[in-house]
Amino acid sequence: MDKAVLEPTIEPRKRNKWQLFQIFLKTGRRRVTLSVICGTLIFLAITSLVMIVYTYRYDTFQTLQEEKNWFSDGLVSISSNSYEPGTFNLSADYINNVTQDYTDMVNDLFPDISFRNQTTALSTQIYTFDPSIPGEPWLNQEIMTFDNRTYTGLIQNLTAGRLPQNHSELLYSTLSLNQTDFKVNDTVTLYSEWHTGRAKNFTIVGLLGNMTETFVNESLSLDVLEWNFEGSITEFYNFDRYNTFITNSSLYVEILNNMTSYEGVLTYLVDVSYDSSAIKPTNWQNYIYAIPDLSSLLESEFTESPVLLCQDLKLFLIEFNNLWTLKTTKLLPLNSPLLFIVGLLSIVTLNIGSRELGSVFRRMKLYGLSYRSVRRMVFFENLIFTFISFIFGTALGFLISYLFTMGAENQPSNYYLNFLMEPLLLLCLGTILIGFFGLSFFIQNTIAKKTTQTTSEEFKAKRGRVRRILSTNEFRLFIVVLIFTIITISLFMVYRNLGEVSLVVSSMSYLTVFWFMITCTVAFLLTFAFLIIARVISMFWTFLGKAVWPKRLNMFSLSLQHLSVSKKSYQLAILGVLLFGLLIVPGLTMNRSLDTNIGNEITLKMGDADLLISHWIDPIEEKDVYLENITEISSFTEAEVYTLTDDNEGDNFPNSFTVHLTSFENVTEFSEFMGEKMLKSYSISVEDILALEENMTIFGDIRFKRNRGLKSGDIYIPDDFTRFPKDLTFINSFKIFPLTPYPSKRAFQTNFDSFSIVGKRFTIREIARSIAFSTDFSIRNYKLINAVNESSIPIVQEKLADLNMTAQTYEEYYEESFSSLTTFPIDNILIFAILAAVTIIFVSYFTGLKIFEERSRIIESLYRVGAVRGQILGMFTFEYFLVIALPLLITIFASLPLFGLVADFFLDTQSYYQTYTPGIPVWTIVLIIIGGLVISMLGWLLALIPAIYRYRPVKTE
Amino acid sequence: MIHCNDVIKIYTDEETKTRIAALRGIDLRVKKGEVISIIGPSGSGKSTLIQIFAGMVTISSGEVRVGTYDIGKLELEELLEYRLNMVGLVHQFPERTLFLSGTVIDNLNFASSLYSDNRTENRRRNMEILETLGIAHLEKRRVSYLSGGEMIRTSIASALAKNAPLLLCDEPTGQLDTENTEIVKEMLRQISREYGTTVLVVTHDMRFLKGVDKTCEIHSGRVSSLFNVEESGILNQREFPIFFKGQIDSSQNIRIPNEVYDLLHLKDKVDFVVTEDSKVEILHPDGIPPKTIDVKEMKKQKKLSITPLEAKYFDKKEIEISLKGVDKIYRSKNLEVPALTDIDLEIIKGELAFIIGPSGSGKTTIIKLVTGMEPCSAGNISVLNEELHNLNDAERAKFRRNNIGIVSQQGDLHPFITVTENLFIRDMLSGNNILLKKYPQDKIDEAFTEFQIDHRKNSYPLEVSGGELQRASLAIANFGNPGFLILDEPTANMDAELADNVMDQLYKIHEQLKLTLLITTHDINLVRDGTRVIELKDGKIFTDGKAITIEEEI
Repeated sequence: MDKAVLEPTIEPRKRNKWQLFQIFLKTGRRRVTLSVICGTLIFLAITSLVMIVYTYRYDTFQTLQEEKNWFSDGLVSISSNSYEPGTFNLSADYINNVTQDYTDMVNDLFPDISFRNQTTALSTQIYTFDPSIPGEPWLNQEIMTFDNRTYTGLIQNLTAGRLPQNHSELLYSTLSLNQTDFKVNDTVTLYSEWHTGRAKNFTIVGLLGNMTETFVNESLSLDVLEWNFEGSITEFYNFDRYNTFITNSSLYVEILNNMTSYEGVLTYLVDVSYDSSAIKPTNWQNYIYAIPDLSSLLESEFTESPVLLCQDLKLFLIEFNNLWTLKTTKLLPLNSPLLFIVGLLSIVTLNIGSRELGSVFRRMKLYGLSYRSVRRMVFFENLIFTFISFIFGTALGFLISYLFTMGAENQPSNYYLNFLMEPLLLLCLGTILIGFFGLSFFIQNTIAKKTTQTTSEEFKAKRGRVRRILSTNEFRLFIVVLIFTIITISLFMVYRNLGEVSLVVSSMSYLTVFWFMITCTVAFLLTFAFLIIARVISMFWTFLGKAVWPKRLNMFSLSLQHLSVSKKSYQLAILGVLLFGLLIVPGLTMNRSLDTNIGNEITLKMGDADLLISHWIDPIEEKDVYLENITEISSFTEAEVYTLTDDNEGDNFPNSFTVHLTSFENVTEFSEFMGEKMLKSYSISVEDILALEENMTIFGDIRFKRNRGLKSGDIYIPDDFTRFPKDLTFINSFKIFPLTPYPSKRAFQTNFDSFSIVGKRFTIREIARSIAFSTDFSIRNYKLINAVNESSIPIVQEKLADLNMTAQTYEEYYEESFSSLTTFPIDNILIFAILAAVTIIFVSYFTGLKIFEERSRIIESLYRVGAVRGQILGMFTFEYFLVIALPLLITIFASLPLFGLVADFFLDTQSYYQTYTPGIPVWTIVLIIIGGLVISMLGWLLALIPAIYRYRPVKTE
Repeated sequence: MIHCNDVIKIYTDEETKTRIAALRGIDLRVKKGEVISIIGPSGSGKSTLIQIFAGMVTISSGEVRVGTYDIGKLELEELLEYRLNMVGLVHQFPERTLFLSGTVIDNLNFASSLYSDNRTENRRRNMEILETLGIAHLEKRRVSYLSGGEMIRTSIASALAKNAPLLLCDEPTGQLDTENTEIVKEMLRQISREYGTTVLVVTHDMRFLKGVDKTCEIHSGRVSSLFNVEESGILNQREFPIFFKGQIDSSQNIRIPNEVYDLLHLKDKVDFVVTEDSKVEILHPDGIPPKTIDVKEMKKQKKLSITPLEAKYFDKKEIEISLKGVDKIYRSKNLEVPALTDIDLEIIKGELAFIIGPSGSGKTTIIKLVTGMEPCSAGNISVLNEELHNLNDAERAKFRRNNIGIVSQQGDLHPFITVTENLFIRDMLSGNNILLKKYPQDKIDEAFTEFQIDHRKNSYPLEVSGGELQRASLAIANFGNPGFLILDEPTANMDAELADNVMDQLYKIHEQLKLTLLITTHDINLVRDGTRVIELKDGKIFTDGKAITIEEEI
């Protein structure tokens, strides 16, 4: 500067930057308001969505913990045992003291967990001597006692005799692992010391029967009855109890105190039914880690032994954590289009808001403000409206969610506040905050950069081919995708290597971050792929425009010419349409598709029967008579399905395999059972079926036939899965067949074969008999039953039930399958479909506006020449139709294979007997394509009709 | 304040690698507080010069000092700072420099905030500026609601609020009539007096010869003269000897005044003859004698006298265009602006008629009504026997397509297709499919040759110059023999010479083709004797008759 300033006559100016910024804000209030509204909606949406997810998680947890039966989960909540040589001097309320001491330990550890119920038991190891047992005549027995409530429940099952009245009387529990056949009044000699012979005789005064029902009804713990310290709990003494003798707590103390000497294990068991509803969902991980592991067990001052605490709670929390991780893994990627939608909506809104910004920046440039000054203003404006949007959006989200959830039942007081610490929310909000700010700043800064450059600067900035490629949106996004992919892979590698040893890496927060990163990566990949598709489509139109235009001059070719020139303006519209196409088909048709697929699956599973008995065991063929006696049954038949699997570790076969063999007891009977019409629906003729009556004839699935090049009548030697192959005659192939599982391929495993074979019982059994020893196999036997008519089905079912035969109907199977579905994602994708529809309207509207603005010179020239407004609109709209039709078709058809993925991965549908197919009629797709075009055109026309019909030629004076 | 020494500016087209010299060695000195008008024809380099002063364009060589800044040596960032500190800009289209969604005072506050952070002082000063410019009552009005004149004042006020020592005005009266032009001129003088601001006005408006401290004439990228009209006595010369002013630049170049050049029949050489008494004569090298000068003739200005049409003018003539009792009111939400009131007008087949009048008199509105681009609010419009007032927008468009050729001020060709392809838009809109290769090429050539634009037939409209674009538009409008041609300000962006040439062609075409031609213009120099002229004032026909040009002394 010094070199250029000749004399310092101009006093330095003191810019009032704050006032400049104020006026910049004030004159851009429309822009700021629009951005704030857009931002608020985005943050509101994100907050609400995370609230929904949070509530869903919370509710799932609450439901599970409500339903959790802590008393029969195989684990005792608080337990300890100690080897006690010597004599006892126990107080009468010893059991109460133990209970108190142990539960206090839990309370100290987790003050917010309360107990709904508890069961305490004490067990004393004691011995019997049976010289008739060679080698080891000393057997472990136990005497148990329980707290009064449990004992009262227990004695309700006194099946014989009476309760003990003194310390030489005991009850005998038939629950004992190795029951000796004791009867009332039997005498049993129990030794308090092993090998020493200090024995005492006890009389069995009563027998206790099956206590399960009573314990469940009385909310008592079954776990304490079946206690054991198996596995790695080496600190505890575990012994096999041959018999369990029971008495009440006071007699138990007496028995122990009366022992002159004792050597054995005393076990303390307190099983509790937790009320874990107060556990903070964000603190699950902390609870898990707060539970002392085996290396750091707390010691009871009362029993002076290390105490194993809350292993049942720990397992429950870990299981829930895993369950939720599974749900998250499904939920987050499924929501990745949401990020895309949010991004697209933001771009459009911010672009609309920034329409006037170019001229504002040009004005500033004329005043002499540098790009840096303008950028600073843009930065602060963005910062302000991003934070205002953030505060408004999240506050509104909290408020709305609070109002929705305040009436919910059993909400602990801290429920709402916990949400604030939800890592998913913080991540989403943080990412969206940065993303929204970055995006809006990027959009406005790009405008600022362009408008504050002079022509000569632009010339200087003219880029070479490589730099042009580097500055494309695709390349920028590619870099982002690359970064996200690297981070995600790194997170995965860290998880894989350290997941089991690091608390941080295995925490829910880490997993959430991990899956969130996957979600972002998927969203960015999706955008990247869409941008590439959009570019290819644009190139196609340019190519077509150039090929047609100079040769043929007409309105169609003129539209193509317009299209090839404006290809960049359509990029966003193409993105919108691609997204729409991808989401709308699954979103709108998934319910129907599920319905069809589950229906087909059940039909195949049931072999088209009205009723199916899925575990039919009748080796001597005696039960058929019962069925014949039920008049409401019109026909029945029997089938067996073998599944053979072999990993081919011994290289006995060319490939490892899974083979399904379906056999029918009587082929003719099966043929009649199915009927000609039904068989035809599987592309099987009655003749073919009857041909199976011949020994060693088979059907094979279509891939089986193709891979082996079989034709009807060919001989197939099954040496690829049997050890002693016998010649089989191939009759025909099928794509799907009743009761026959669909052979599924294994991803990334080329040396794996899977196929299905159908034949009569003799043939299939012959095959099954010749399998190798290494081959695993399972058999399922089915009885397929048809009722005389539909109304008879329940009657038949009832009559079968009377015969102790469980038959299930189509409706029951359907209900079972449907209830096992994860339905949350269905709502999710439906919402996405709606959101995508709104987005496409919005994007089309924006594109319409943009095109109108860009085409003012074209419109002017056409209008002056005498174009009817409708013609201008028609030409532009035809052009837009060409722009959107292709991507719409591409993604709608590309989305069809997604059905299987969504159904299997996200919704947990079973596709055991068939492959998942969309299962929607063609007209639905046609309707969706038309619908897509219509709603896309809606936004477009909403922008263009008023613009073109209100258009006035420019004033030329 | 301004010191320019041999300033050269060469533009290089990066695409075609062509180099165009916009300034070829400008020398200029301007004192602080002077009001200077920079006048010159289109392409003379005046806009480049003002962009250099504004720090928006860098020079190729030479020296430009403005105040303390040697702007030829400044980097881009420094140029911005220079602009921030030194320059106030008033644009031809003031809305381009103002925040339209802000109030008048917002705009001034923005500008003054660039100067000082003393809010109170800024406020006082801004109010004073508003008072001075007579727009204090508009303080809180949104700029988008201002009229053209008010907007120019606001723009000037904003430039002043910035307290820049140099005020650059780029065609500030381009959209204003004489009355408003005078007001602006007076305002600029006042500013210079009261604030000591140096004012440079770039214009091709000859009204800026008077009422400024100096006038700088620029021709072909050089300063041809720098003078004060009043002091130099150039304007009121009625007797010999006649004086012409010239400016010798730093390399001793001087431009021969146009009048002298024409007088001596000079081409590319000149002889200087010095006599014993040290008088210098300029002579034609081949001894061709000069023209005779009539002093009185020299200083005459053209005026238009319109003789009303004779009563039987329309008798037995085929009327092609007829407007009867036509009103046109533009309506917006809360505003009704009457553009035309009670217009009765008839145009005969094959007639060439001018519609003249000041800005806002309704010339373009008449064109829009006759072409069917706008419906009339009242009255009847009949064109080629078609009652336009009874047609809807689409029918009017079809009518326009089939019968009328329009050439607008901007050329208005489809920018994405070539000039030749533009020929066929009408056909395309009529649903025809043109196979360009099979189309008779001679017809296309003929259409363009007629207007001497065949060398541009394969160019895109944005690639051709303004004059060429007008000729191309004319050829396209005339293609397919429409009923008549309408030309809306066809010479608006041309200097007098180019405009004259274009008018020559138009008269020639009219003669040859006997086309009906309706031309709007605000430049009466284009009108030739005997031509019908319809003069509009305030949306009404003021006079309608035959033009007779009168040259009267200035």
